Amino acid sequence: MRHARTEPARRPNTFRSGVVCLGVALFSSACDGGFESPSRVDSLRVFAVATKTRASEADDWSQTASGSPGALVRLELIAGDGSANGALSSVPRPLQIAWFGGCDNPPTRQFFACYPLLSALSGLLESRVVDTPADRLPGFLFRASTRGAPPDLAQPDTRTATAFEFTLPTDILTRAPRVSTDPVHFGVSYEFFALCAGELRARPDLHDRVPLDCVDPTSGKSLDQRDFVTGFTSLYTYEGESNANPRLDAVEFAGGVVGSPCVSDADCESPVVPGLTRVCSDSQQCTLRLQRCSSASCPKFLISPSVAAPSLETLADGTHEVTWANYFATAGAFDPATELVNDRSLGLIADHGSYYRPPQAPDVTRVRFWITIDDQRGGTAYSTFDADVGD
Amino acid sequence: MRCLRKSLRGVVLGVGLGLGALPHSALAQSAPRGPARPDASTFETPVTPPVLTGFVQANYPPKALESGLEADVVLAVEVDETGKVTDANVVEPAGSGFDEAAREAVLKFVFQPAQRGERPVKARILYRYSFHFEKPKPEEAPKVERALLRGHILVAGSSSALAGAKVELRRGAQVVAHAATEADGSFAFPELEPGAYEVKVEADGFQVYTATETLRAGEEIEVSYGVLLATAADEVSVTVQGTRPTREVTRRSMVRRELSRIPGTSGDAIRAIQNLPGVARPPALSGVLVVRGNADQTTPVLVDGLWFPNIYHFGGLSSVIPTEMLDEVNFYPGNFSVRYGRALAGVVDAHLRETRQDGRYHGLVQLDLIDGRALLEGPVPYAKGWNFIGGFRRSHVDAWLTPLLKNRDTYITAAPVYYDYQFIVDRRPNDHSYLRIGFLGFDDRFRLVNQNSSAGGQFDTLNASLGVGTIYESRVSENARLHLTATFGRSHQRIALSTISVDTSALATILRGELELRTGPHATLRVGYDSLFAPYRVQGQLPEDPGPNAPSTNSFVTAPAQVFDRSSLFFVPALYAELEGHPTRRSQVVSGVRADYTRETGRFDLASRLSARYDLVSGFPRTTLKGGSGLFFQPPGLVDMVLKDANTELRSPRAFQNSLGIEQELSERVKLSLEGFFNLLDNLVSKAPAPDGALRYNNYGKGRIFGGELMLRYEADDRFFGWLAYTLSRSERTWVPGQPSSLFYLDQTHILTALGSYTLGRGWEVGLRFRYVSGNLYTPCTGSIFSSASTSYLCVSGPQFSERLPAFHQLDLRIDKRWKFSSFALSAYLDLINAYNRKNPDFIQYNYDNSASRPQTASLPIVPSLGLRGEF
Repeated sequence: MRHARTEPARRPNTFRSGVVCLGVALFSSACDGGFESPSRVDSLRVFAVATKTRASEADDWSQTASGSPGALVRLELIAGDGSANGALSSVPRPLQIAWFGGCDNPPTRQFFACYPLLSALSGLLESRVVDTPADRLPGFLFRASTRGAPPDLAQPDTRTATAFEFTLPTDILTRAPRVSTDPVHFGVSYEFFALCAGELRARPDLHDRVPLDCVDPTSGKSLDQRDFVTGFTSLYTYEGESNANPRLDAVEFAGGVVGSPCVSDADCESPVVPGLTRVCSDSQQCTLRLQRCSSASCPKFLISPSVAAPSLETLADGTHEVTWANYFATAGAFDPATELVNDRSLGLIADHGSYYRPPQAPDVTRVRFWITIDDQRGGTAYSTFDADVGD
Repeated sequence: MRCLRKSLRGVVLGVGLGLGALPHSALAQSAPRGPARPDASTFETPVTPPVLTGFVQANYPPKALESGLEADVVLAVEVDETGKVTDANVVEPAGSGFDEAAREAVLKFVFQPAQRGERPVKARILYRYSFHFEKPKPEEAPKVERALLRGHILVAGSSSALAGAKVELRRGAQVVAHAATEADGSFAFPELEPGAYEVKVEADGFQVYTATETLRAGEEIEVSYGVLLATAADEVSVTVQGTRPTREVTRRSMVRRELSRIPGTSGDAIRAIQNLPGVARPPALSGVLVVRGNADQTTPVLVDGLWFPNIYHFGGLSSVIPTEMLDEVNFYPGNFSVRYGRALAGVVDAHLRETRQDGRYHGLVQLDLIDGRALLEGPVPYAKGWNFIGGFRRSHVDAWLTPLLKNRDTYITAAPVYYDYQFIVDRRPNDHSYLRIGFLGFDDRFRLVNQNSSAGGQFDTLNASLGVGTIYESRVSENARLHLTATFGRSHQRIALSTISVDTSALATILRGELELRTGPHATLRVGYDSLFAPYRVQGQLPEDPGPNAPSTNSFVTAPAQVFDRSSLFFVPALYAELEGHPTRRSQVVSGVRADYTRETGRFDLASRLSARYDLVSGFPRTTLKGGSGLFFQPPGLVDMVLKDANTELRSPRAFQNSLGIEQELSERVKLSLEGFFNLLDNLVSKAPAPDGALRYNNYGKGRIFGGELMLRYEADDRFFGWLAYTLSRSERTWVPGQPSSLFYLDQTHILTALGSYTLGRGWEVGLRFRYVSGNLYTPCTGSIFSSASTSYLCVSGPQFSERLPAFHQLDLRIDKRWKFSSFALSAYLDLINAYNRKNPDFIQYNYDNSASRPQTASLPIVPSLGLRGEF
């Protein structure tokens, strides 16, 4: 359903509407509209935002995806840049990253209710927002990376704004409206971010989106979604409940665990799979070498994340927390791009891997993979690894 | 995610089973219809109707005579192969003793029997017996020896008067008088000698009609004769009376042949409604009924007065009542009678047909690509006077859909199966009453797993209902009729997908009653009671509804859930009264008032309605001006009532409907109807942020709908039926006070349907249907924002419903072939849906980050639907 959108009824619909959705859902996977798979990373992309919390500076970050009043929160971007068309560059592109935080319990509890606040806020920014000191924005959190060295997206860090830390208000729960049909009382805090492979500009005139623009510094033209991503996180604070991030123990690539320790290549050889070679790297971890896909031969490999069963939580009503896996690669193709890991009714679905076909393009010599495990309440775990590609 | 929200009002009321159907002739709660018309498709050889050769004068009821009452009584007359009247039932009574007198006389009539070719056959006709008199004036006493014969000539099967027809009066071989009918079809022969006369009617293009009338001294007889088209050779129904005008401003009726032959509907009666003016093309795969720009679930489908909220199996494959059990479907697009309530838009009123009472057993077996069905009817053994009809249907899509959907990520765990069943017995205990008892049920189940989507998982749906009921009708006095309906049923419905689940169960008792009082020669009063009493339990969870016109939100999987588990009582009693008057012969005024109570909201709704018709030209070609105005209420959806905050009281959404139109007869079969409508809606249920920041339900929604409808129709005869229907409309809503209105998402500016079906002979019939409809509205994406919660890009919405998909157009073709054997018939049909394989866009599909889009279709490609049927 992620890629198919119908305009739904705006008022109560019918029993039959469910069947409409079912029909669209059934056929959407087979009928992808001819679009490129979302698993293919050939532009600036954000895959997820991982949340960690702690009660005080003295504590370690915990793998808790929900907040608590007064808690310290760390958000880490899980992002990648495939703009080099699958040919991973050793030198990442310069990026500017900005965060807006502190939109707590907005009217309607929906993220878009924050837009008026963001627009007003952006009016206080200099036109080049990254040059605006954060202390110019009292009462609202704003952080941006400074121009200079490109951030390393693989190493989230608050100094490069690939991570963002803030403190939840102590009254996040008490200020939240109580609604009789909520299964548990909660408060919500929205944090917005922008990644720009150009230069960020404030756009206080925008009221229906994150009020920033990303322009090419030389031409001044606005960049499109290939080079400019805006997004938001929804951080829930539950009364008497919490949500743990799912735990990703390992990733198997065609039966072998990715990154398993080794001393020599012999430690990585099993199982033997045509089209795939495993070698022991200098860092004493098994790495992958894939045979380039040709028209005559194009093997597919099952990539399967091992999700720790205890981390798949059961909700208060006894149902299972919905959890799914997303698969991404800078070259080659996953099928499917998303697999359900934990169904609300059925629980764990053991076969939640995805099949990967290596790329065919001769200029692709290395592929980067991202696998995220996401749950319905904002929890995330992820793994990223590379594979060499050769003939 | 709102795609999967649903109205639990309909769910709970799913027990509203249409049990106990009355035949149209006995159904007080049904709107009046045209003359009975046996399925013409069952007769291959031209049939000559019976001719009255022996008229018997009825005795004028003494009390009526004393009171100075005159009346017309319409009877259904069964004539056997010998010309003898075997039965006569009053279908339009007059009371005051007229009915009994007319029946007694008609039973003594003698006919020349109807003939199929050279062979005499049984036939059923309608006959109007007119009682008129003039009190003799003292000075006219010497003239009592003379008699008067006057009347009207009508086109059989219609209310069309026949002007210019030659009427000849003979005594033996001698022509004693002749006349040509006036523009209104009238003629008169004054100063006649008492005695028997043969009346002969001739007109170009019509069959010669003859009748015998016996005049007594001083008597005045007024008759109406229906003459058949010369080409209408195998028409068996003969009418001697025009149809009464509808009480509603607009009633669109379809007879069984039309219901079962419209191309593209696979012979499904309820889907045939979608071809009438005012009905929008529903969203793909939904089967919902969208009338005059209103929301779905605002036009209830009634079967003999009882509500079927889920009339379709699996969202539109076929309706739960087989067409073979329906006699007629009436559609009121607005301004309907107060006997109908809890509906904001229109009403579909279907009628089950009467069991055949010829003492023989009949049955049919049908098989098509979707389902197989069987039906049997006849007399109940060892129970004199009782007849039964029973049917069963089961889908077999599971046989081919299960392997089709089976792959690694999608597989079916409960094959999609639906079935329905009906069994009804009926009888007439006496001439004044009718009784029907029966049960109906249906069951739909489907479960599959789709695991390559975060919004997938197990999809589980169940929709099952069973009910028993009875209808009893009695003429309790000369001027009073009573109609009672009682139904008891249970219902269980479930839908679940990922984090969405709704499970509803209910027991319902439905009671309806109507008393009709003839308060004078020109006025009829009807009072009625209509209630649903349904203890229910609804439980489950739905994603939080962000309110009307909200931008795209998180996937329903990651949206905060609203959890509910409520056991309560849905009780909606109503009382109504309606007065129908005919101030003049050309006019009709119907005014009514209806009071509804909704226990869930604790509110009373009082609705008053007025409609009127006036014949600008009363004879042929008739021109009728019509109009109506009134208030219509519908309780809030059960979802809204269940999920609303405790301190929020919702009112019933309200519609103020107004319409004005004209009907014009263009020929004996061709009618033109033109109507404009202007409806104002308010108290629509909406959501808005409360002071505490939460979204709360309210009644702030308003709407405005206006437009016009045109229908040019050729009424079904033995050869052809068809129509051209066009609707031009605009539907707007305002959900938040002070904000400008925007188009309603179901707004369709142009809706054009042209269809026709022609009988070629030798059992062949071919039909075509073409539809052109404005594209559905959608909200464009003008940007994209990544949601880490759903790990997907959400659409940054542009102006709400500001864009339209390309227009929909489609051609459907249907071919029927029938083979008639001595004791049974076989038939086959090919319904070629979407004959030129038009890929009509149903929605806009976006790529993962909404940077590219393409129109996509969810409608059927070219599909040949085949069916076989045997009947005896």
